[in-house]
Amino acid sequence: MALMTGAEYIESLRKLNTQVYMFGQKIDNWVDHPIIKPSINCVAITYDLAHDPEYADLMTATSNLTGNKINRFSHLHQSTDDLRKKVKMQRLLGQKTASCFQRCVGMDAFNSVFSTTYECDKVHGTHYHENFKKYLTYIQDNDLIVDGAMTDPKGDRGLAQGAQADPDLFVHIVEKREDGIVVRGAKAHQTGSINSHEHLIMPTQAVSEGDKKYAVAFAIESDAEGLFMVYGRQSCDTRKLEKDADVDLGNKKFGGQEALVVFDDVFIPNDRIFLCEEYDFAGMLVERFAGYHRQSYGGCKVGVGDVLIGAAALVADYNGAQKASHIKDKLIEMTHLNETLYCCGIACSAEGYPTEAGNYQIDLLLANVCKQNVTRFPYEIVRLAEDIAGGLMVTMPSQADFRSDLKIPTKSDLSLGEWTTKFFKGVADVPTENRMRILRFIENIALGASAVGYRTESMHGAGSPQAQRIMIARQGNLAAKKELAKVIAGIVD
Amino acid sequence: MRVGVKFCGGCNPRYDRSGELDKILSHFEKDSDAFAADHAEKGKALFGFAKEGGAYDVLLVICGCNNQCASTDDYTFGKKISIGETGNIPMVVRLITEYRDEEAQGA
Ligand SMILES: Cc1cc2nc3c(=O)[nH]c(=O)nc-3n(C[C@H](O)[C@H](O)[C@H](O)COP(=O)(O)OP(=O)(O)OC[C@H]3O[C@@H](n4cnc5c(N)ncnc54)[C@H](O)[C@@H]3O)c2cc1C
Ligand code: SF4
Repeated sequence: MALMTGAEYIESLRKLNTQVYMFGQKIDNWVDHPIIKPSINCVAITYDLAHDPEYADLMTATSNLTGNKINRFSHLHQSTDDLRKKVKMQRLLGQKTASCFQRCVGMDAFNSVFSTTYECDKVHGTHYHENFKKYLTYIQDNDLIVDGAMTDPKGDRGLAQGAQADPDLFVHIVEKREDGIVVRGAKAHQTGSINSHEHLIMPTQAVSEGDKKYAVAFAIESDAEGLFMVYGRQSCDTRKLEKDADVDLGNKKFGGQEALVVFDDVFIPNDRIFLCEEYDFAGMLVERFAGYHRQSYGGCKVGVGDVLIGAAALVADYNGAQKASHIKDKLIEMTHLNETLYCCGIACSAEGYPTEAGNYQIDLLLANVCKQNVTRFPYEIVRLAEDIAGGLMVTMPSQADFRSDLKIPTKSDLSLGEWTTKFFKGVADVPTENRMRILRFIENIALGASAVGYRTESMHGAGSPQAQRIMIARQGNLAAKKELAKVIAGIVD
Repeated sequence: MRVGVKFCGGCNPRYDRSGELDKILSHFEKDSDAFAADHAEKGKALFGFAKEGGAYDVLLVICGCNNQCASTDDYTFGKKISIGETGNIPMVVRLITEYRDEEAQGA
């Protein structure tokens, strides 16, 4: 099948019988739901840009499995050039959506499951790699979206999987059958899960022998029996339900999405199983997925940062502050921080290497450094944007006030719209509405719905900061650095 | 002469790539008033987006920055002109004109 268009993708979602809950209710037509729609639009653009000659070089790749042209989001990286193009594609999409476009987790899961199953099969004589190749060929041929699902609810963070009061707090096998397995549990924070066709489930952390029923990886359709999702609400989300609120939304068209995905005894057929109690490979899978995903943030967050820097520069123009030297300097600082993140994304890609299975893995140390910076720099970039924007981004009246004809019974006899438009004007030649639009856009990223993607996801997505520090400590080779110092200082032990 | 146009993926272009193409095309208006030409005519530079597997007399690769990372493996071509950062329009126009006229003279 050829690459889908965005419209075809949206139509394909309508054919699914996905069970979605939100605000205490079952949502039957979730495809057209105003709260969910922006996240669907975001994924749709990953399809449309693949058809656009201006972007196709980054958005598409040639499959090593079939030789066909596929969307890069379904690609197994074949070189360091592919790894770099992945980051560039993510930057591009961040620029186009100023949101989380949700398709990266699947791509990162494909690449980590591909190489891990190869190595697992070699040790255990299993056949997961063939299962996975067949599965990925199906995904590539049909140009499907797959949620890369790693994070379990985890319950008491101080306890291992099997020691939890409730065994379901981590996804696990409850029954092994001739034709497959039955699984129970849930995955939390699942990006784009509702508008995905499929889910690729991985363990959330290393597994010990005693807990081997938690060492499970598999693929499942979104509308499988026993599977349902609960939409995660976002800051300011109900603005999307208001009529004529496109100014107040800040970003009317695009947005991210996370949900809780619950498995209440879901059957997984044998050919969709990629790990089943081989606990010694759970840690490898987690580490590889986390590595790829830490690289991803060196692209996607940079793209969103590009738009935010542009917005800050625009608001400075509209406020008449653009010539102030400290404003210029703050814009330089924002650019410097943003490009530093990009440097990390490109560096860990350029230093990638082939796995035993043949696809390319990023440099783990540099990818962890990349993500560690991502837990910090977007906060500083957004702080500077708020500084430049001024307080109005959080105190201005609503779009309904600006558009209101309601006459205010005072001497001037102006309408509410006329009063607000008059007093919120910046420089004379820029319409008040343009100023309001860009301020609301900054609000959306700083503390509205898109803050989920730009701030908290930068902090915790792909692992909380401490997770990277552990990897940096492990990979930093302090012993060798001590030796270097000893040699130069002339220390002989 | 067929000129296949290929863009890089545009992750962080330092200039407007399609605007640059429009400027280049404006120099060849007399040759063709239609973009996306899928045939060749001697003495005329006919432009169109390069199609995968396609063969072109000239492949014009318009990249957003000097990294020029666009892949050209999927095309066959006689000559390649690749541009990175802006300011190259006169060079592109000169080269395409030269190639076109050379081809016409060779006829
Ligand atoms: C917007 C967003 C999108 C996401 N998308 C996805 C997705 O698509 N797929 C996916 O699988 N996951 C996704 N995640 C999940 C992400 O990987 C987790 O948020 C992350 O691993 C942290 O887990 P947690 O949120 O449960 O926080 P916690 O684990 O509760 O961490 C909170 C704090 O406690 C500390 N802590 C936790 N456990 C311990 C411990 N044992 N010892 C010491 N300190 C500890 C952490 O370091 C951190 O400082 C997403 C998260 C966000 C916010
Ligand atoms: S040539 Fe430059 S702008 Fe174009 S995709 Fe490559 S790096 Fe990005």
